[in-house]
Amino acid sequence: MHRFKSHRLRSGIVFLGVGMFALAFGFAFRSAVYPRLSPASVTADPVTDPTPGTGAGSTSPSQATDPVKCKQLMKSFDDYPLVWLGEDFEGLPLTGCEHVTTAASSYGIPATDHFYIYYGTCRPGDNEHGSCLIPVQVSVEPACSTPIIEDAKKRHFAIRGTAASELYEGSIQIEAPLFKVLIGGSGGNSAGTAQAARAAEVIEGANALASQLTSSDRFSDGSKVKQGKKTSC
Amino acid sequence: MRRVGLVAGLAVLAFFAVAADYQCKEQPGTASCINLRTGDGSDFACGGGGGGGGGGGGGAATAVPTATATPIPPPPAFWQTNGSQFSYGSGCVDDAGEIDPVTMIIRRNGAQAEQIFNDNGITVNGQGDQNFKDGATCVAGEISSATNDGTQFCYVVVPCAESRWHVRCNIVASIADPRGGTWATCTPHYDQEQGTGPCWHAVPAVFGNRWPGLRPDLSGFDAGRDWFYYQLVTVGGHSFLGVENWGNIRRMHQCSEEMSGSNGWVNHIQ
Repeated sequence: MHRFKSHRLRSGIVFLGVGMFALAFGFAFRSAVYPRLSPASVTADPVTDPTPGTGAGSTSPSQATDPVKCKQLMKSFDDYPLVWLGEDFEGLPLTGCEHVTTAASSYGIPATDHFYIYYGTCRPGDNEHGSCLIPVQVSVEPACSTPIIEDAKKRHFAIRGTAASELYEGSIQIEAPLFKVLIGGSGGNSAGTAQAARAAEVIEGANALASQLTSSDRFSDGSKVKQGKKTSC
Repeated sequence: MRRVGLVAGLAVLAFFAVAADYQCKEQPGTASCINLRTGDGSDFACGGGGGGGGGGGGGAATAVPTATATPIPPPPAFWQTNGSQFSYGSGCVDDAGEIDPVTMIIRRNGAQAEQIFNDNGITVNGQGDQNFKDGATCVAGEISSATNDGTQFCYVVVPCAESRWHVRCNIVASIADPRGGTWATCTPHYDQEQGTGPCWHAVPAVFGNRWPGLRPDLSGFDAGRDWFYYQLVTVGGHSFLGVENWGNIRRMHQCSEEMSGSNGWVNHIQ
């Protein structure tokens, strides 16, 4: 009888032990692949785990807030061809530029890469949000980047012999053989779009990869630009 | 020996019971849910993702290879032309122009967006003070919800009392979802308290390490998009329908003197 009880006790302990081990292992497995996101736990990123090889962790590696440094930054940039509007556009001076990249998210957003060039300044209002829109922005990205969905485009037309589209928010995008450029004018209205269209007419090369591209060239003329270091996105 | 077998069997069952919970929650956000559309092009379809949060089914169960999520195929009429790509100042055409990029759509349950936020700890703080384009009309946004629990940020960022996750939405009247219900176009973002007026809040250009688990290279707008994805889909159980590149990448000059914007990608959540 005593031996029988002892045997049952041992079996019970083994049962409990193995069960607890299995539960702990199960939870550990779940935590490893589905971690909680909370201030109290610094863990791997369940939302935006970057895909290996997509430039994970890189962030705005370069920025210039004055014209001289901005021109230097553009000249030394060799990932893909850069274009700009010169040192000023319609009275708006070059005021800054920056290279902004984000890595891919784990739920389908690919890595992104944009080089922004700003013309003019604005003063954030005193509203709750406190922001304003720089009058003219030029954003260049490599040709391999994911296309903007067609439904975001209001109309298609041609600028300097190249397909262009107007987005509903007023910007104009041009897809050249080795780069894409998005130009935004002042305000979210037709005047801004018209300004962006005028800007597209005077765009020219800003770095060595696009040094042959002048404002009289067609964007579609592939002989005016060279492939940069970035060959895939 | 039979007992050992029983114990081992229970152990295996316990393991799979816990692991299965992971499978159920993770599936709507996996690559099998990305950029797929039903045959008539009317909606995204998830590879088996279930409905959640009162949203109903998550779409046709289609086995899809996960490695081919990008590039995106040319879409048929889906987003349509009626919604905003940004929120705007008064009249949607004033000097302020665009204010915050739209990076999240609540599909079908747009009219319930405020309740959805509230259920997930993002509480109403008025109707917001920004406008949206709804078809040809400029309308005031109906929803403004925020975490309003800034103390949780105090452990990494000071000042912090009023820093928050914030979203404004417009319940889009001019879009009828092919599956019924309405859409809400939303501008999720992270507001960093600046400590003094008139610049009370600004959206960071680089989010940094303010919130463990979110990638630090994102702007406050893109971090907001990811945080709401986590809060509504991963934790809240709502269906994740996919992503689209809208190209609304213009950067805004914040009163903190930072230039902040989105990378142009939009989440669709049901």
